[in-house]
Amino acid sequence: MLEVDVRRKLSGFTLDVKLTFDVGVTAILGPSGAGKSTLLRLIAGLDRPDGGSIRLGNQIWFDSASGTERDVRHRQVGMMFQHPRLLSHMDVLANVELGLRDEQSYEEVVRLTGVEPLMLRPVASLSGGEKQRVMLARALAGKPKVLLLDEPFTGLDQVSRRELLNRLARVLPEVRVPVLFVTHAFDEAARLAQSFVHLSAGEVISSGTAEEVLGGMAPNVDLERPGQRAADLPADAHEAATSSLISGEVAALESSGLARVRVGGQTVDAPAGNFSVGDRVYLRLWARDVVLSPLPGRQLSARNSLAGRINALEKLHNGQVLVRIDIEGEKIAALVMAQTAKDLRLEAGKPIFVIFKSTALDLSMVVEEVAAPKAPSAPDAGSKEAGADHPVE
Amino acid sequence: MTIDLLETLLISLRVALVGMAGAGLVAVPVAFILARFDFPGKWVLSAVTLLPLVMPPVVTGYVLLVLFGPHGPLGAFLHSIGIDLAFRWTGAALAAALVALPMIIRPLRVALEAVDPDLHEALRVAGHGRVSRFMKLDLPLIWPGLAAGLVLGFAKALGEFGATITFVANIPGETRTLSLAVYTALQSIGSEGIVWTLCGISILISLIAAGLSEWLVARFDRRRREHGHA
Repeated sequence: MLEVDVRRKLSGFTLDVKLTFDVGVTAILGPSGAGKSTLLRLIAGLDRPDGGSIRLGNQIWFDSASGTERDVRHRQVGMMFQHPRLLSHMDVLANVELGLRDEQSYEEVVRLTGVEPLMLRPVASLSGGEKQRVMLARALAGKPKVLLLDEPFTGLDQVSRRELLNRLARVLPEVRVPVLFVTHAFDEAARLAQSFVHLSAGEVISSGTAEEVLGGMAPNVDLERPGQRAADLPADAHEAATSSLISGEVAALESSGLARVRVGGQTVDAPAGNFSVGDRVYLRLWARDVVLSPLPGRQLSARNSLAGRINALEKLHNGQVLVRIDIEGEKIAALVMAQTAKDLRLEAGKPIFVIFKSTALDLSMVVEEVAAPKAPSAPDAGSKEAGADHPVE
Repeated sequence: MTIDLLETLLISLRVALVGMAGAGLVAVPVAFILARFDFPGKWVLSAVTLLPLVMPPVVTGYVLLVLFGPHGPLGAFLHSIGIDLAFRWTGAALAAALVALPMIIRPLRVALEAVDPDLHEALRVAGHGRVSRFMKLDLPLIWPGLAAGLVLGFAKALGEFGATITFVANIPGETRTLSLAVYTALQSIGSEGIVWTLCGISILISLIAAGLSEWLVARFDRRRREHGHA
C-alpha cells in the first residue's frame, strides 16, 4: 500500500494531498495544472515535497519530519511519461533492458506488452503508440513496486490511443502493484481504473468509485477553472452537479448513430460514440435532466423511459427535491421541484418512470471492451499507421 | 640552412597530440560542469576557459614562462620532482594544450547541453546513477562533438607559435615545431624551397583536420535532428 501525505508549493496554489493507493489502478483526474503530474513526480522522487511523507508498506520514501529521503533510483518505480523517453541511439531491445534491475528476466514483460516484433528495430522507426508500448515494457522490466502513468496517451492519434488503451486494459490487471494513472479523459479513466481521485488546484475534491467521483465532475474537466475548489462552489451547485452513472452493455448499434444499451431487462438509446457491440459502458445522466412520470413516456421527443422504483426523497433547501430511484439495481437521481413531488405524490417504494433524452447522456465511457481483438498479434497489425502518429508538441 | 623535415614533423605531431590529449582530459570534466551545473561565478569559469583563445599568444607564453620557468613557483616545484617544462617539448605540449582547451570545451559543452534532460530523468527512474547515465546516454550522443573538438584542438595545437616560442624558445630537435621551422626558414636567404615544403605539410594536415571536424559536426547535427526527441 502506498501512503502519500505531501505538500508542495506550485505557482498560484499549494498541492496538498493525503491519499492511500492500494494494489490496482487509481485514475487521477483533474484539469491541466491541477498538480496531477507533480504528484507523480513527488512519488517517483523526481521532485521533493516541501513537507509530509511518502511510504510504501513499511518502507519510507520521504519523511520531512525525520529528514529521510530515498533516492529516485532506489524507489523502484516504473513510469510512463506524456511523451516516450527512449534512447534513440539504441534499438528497442536495449531500451527495454535499460529498465532491468539486477539479473531479472523480461520475457514475460515482452509477451505482455507485445513488443516482441519490435525488439530489433531502431527507435526512430517506431510510431508514437509503439514507443509508448516500449516505455511500458521498460517500466515493467524493473519489476516496479509502484507504476506511474503520466498521461501516456498524449499526442497519440485515435487509432494508436485505442490500441494502447486496449493493451493497458489487458496488462494492468496482471501488474499486482499500486498503479497511478494521470489523465483528463473520463473514458480512459473509466476503462482502466477501479478507484478515482479528482484533483483540482492541488486539492483532492473527491475520491472513491466511478459513481462517487465521475458523477460529480463537469462534463469536460478541461473546462473547469484551474483555481476552482469544491468549497468555493455555491451551495446549490452541489445539487445541480448531481449525476448518475448508468452501467449497461451495448446490445446493438444503429445506423442512425444511436446505440441500444441494455440496462437490466430494459434498453436505453445512447449516442453511439466509439462503442462496439458487447462493450460494457457507463452512461452519465444529470439529475436535472430527468423527467419523472407515473406513466411510461410515449410519443415524446425523449427516447428513453425506464421503469423503476423510488428509493428515497431528499429535500433540498432551495425548494427542490432529489429523488433517488432504483432501476434494476442501477441508481438514478432526479431533481424536481418540491411542489412537483407533492403533485405526483412521490414517495419511497412507489413505482415510477424515468424519462430522458438521449442527448442528455453527456458522457459515455467504455468500461470493458468485450469486442477487443483476442489474438495477441492482432493489435500490432494496425500499429503502423501511415505517419499519422506523431506526437503533437 | 638545414632543417630536418622528418624530425620537425615528428616533434610537431608529438607536441600537438600530447597537447590535445592533455586538453581533452581537462576539457571533459570542465565542459560537464559548465553544461550540467549552475553555481555562483559560473561565468568566471566559462570566461577563463576562453582566455587562451582571446589572449595574445605571446602573453600566454610569457605567463607560462613566469609560472613554469626554472624560477617560477610551479616550475621550481615541478623541477624538484623531476619535471622540467621550460625549453622542453613537454613545455611546447603544455602551451599547445592551453590554446587547444577552448576549442574542445566549446563544442563539447554544446553537445552536452543538447542531451535532453528528460532522458536523464527517465534513466534515473529506471535506477541508473550518474556514471551509468554518462556511459549509456551522454557519451553516445556527445562523441561526435567531442571528436570534432579534439580535431580542432589538435589543429590549433599544431599551429601554435607565439606562446611556444616565448615559453620554450626555438630549439632544433626539441621544441622546433613546423610553425617555428617555417619562421626559422624565413629568416635565412635562399630557403624558399624549405618554406614551401613546410607550408605544404602544414596546409595538408590542417585540411585533413578541418575536413574531419566538419564531417563529425555534420554527423552530430544529423543525429541530433533525427533523434532529438525519441
